[in-house]
Amino acid sequence: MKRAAKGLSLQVVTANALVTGSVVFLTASGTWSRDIAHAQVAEDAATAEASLVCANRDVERDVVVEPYLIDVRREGAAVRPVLMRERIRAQGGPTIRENRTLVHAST
Amino acid sequence: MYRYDEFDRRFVSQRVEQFRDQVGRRLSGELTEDEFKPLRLMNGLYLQLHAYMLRIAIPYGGLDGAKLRKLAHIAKRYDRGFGHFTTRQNLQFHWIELKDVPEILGELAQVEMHAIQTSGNCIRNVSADHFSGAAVDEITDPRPYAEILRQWSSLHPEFTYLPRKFKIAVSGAAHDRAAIQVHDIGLQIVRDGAGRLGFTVYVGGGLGRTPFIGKLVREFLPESELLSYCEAIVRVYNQFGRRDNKFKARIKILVHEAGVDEIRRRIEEEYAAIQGHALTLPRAELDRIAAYFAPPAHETMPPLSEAYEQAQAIDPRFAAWAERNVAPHRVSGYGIATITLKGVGEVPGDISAAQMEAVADIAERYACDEVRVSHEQNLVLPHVKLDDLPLVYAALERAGLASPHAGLITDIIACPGLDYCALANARSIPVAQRIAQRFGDLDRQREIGDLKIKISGCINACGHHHVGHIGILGVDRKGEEFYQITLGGSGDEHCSIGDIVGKGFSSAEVVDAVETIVDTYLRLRESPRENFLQAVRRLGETPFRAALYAEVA
Repeated sequence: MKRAAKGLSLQVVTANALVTGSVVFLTASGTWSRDIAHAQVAEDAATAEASLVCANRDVERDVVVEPYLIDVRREGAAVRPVLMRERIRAQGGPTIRENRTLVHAST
Repeated sequence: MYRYDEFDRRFVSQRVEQFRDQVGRRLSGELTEDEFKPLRLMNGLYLQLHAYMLRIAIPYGGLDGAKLRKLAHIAKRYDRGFGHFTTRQNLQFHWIELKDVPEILGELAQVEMHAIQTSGNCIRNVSADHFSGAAVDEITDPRPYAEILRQWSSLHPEFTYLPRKFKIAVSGAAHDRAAIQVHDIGLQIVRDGAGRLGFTVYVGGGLGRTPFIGKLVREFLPESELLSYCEAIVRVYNQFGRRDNKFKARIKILVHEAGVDEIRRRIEEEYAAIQGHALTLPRAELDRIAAYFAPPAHETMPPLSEAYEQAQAIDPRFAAWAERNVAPHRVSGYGIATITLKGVGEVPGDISAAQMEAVADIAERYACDEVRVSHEQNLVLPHVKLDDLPLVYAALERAGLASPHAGLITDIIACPGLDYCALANARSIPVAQRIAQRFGDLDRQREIGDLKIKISGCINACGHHHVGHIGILGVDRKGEEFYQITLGGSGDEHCSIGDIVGKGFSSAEVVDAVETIVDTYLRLRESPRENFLQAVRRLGETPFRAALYAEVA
């Protein structure tokens, strides 16, 4: 499980949905959203750990798998993961800008 | 192509039903994730960055129209309309939902496909030369032996929990197109002085964190001894391979630590104990399996095709494609066509459902219904009449599959990298795309000549960077992507591991660095006949290092 780096205070919980495998983020109401903008941002370690406990209950309920905390920054109104890996997950797909193969997928 | 018998059919359908039950129990909560994970991995189902990934086995890279159409159907119905061919001749779907996997496996079974041996610490899908049965330099077709190894290794009860995964590759030609010396077992088909068929056996090759070239353990192993000897090797590995450290668990580490002489002694000792028993291959069984791979009914054709020559004279684009993408065939009047999946703007190894269907059409109509996947993430039509090549080219062009750059600098191997893979540290695909863009001009590519660039997004080396003429390894440096460059690697019969040229380059710098290396080669080569790899081997890294780090120095 990926551990968050020390010294960074803002964190959110992410996981993958069991049925679809989609990337999801824990919201303040304890549900899961595919949009990181809806994630609950924990501003201290205790809140973060409490969020993770909440997430792990959903592992036991077979809602999500492999939850973990990621470091984020606030950029204006947006929440942005610190690590590239998590930025790619949060954007919902690869960073590939041009994909000529997929042009042919629709023909 | 091998066709399932009753046993195979029952075996695969039972497996589908077993996994259907396991998925059902996972979704109902009867199985926990810890219980389910090893079961899903035994069926090729991984959880990656964005979704589940299903890796489908394509034994020794063999496909036909029906299999391709089924893969296209799965891509459209259950994925996002495309698939990704890997460096192990397999196909991955990157956007799979867990609930759909039993249905997908059921659909695959209809065309004699499955996802067994694509994950876990077992003997993985066996790979072979993608020109098998067609290459001019072939001693004999390696696929029957690969198939025999597949049947022996599938769910082999003794070898289901090896210390680590185990990969076998077979080459039937002296020119190694299957990278056998970087596999756990590499089998080179040879004839002895008396003309008997057999194998030269290499053990302990591999890439990853600690790359090694396979060590020669047997100069000549008689054909009938294939399974006895492989069983001896894997048994020695299973018994003595390290289980204390995942990073030291592959057989290459055992061979390295114990020494090849000691490993050979143990293998021979084990082999002596089991030879002459159940695993000796009877002639009749060898012939029975070989009959599945009998060459298609080639017509008697003149060696020169007027249609082919004329089309090249008229259409320079076709001529360029023919020059790079058509290899000589063992049968007069035929050629082997490579369909590269790395055109500018494409994702190396990716193919859309529509393209799969187009290739299926072409194979059925013009290529004896045979398609191969190469470990270089391309497709191959192994049996095409020279007369038909202009038509094949036209059909490929309509499908966006006619890039004329096989073996050139833009025919790049790249793993999915951080764009998809949970293990990756850096992205591979965008780097491959930027290099393809930079060297997109075909005249320039042709002037540079044969050059293999291979890119991995982490040290596990799925992109085979160690054996790239230019290898690129993505690393994470304090949260930033950096790329380490190696020079002089090669995965063929003159196998070599590339040397790290110096400190890594940022994502913004790496394409310029590749260009500097290429320009240095063009400046220093003795003639256009001296290819990049030959020049690097003659010159060493010094001039390249000097050019790359001149400003720093």
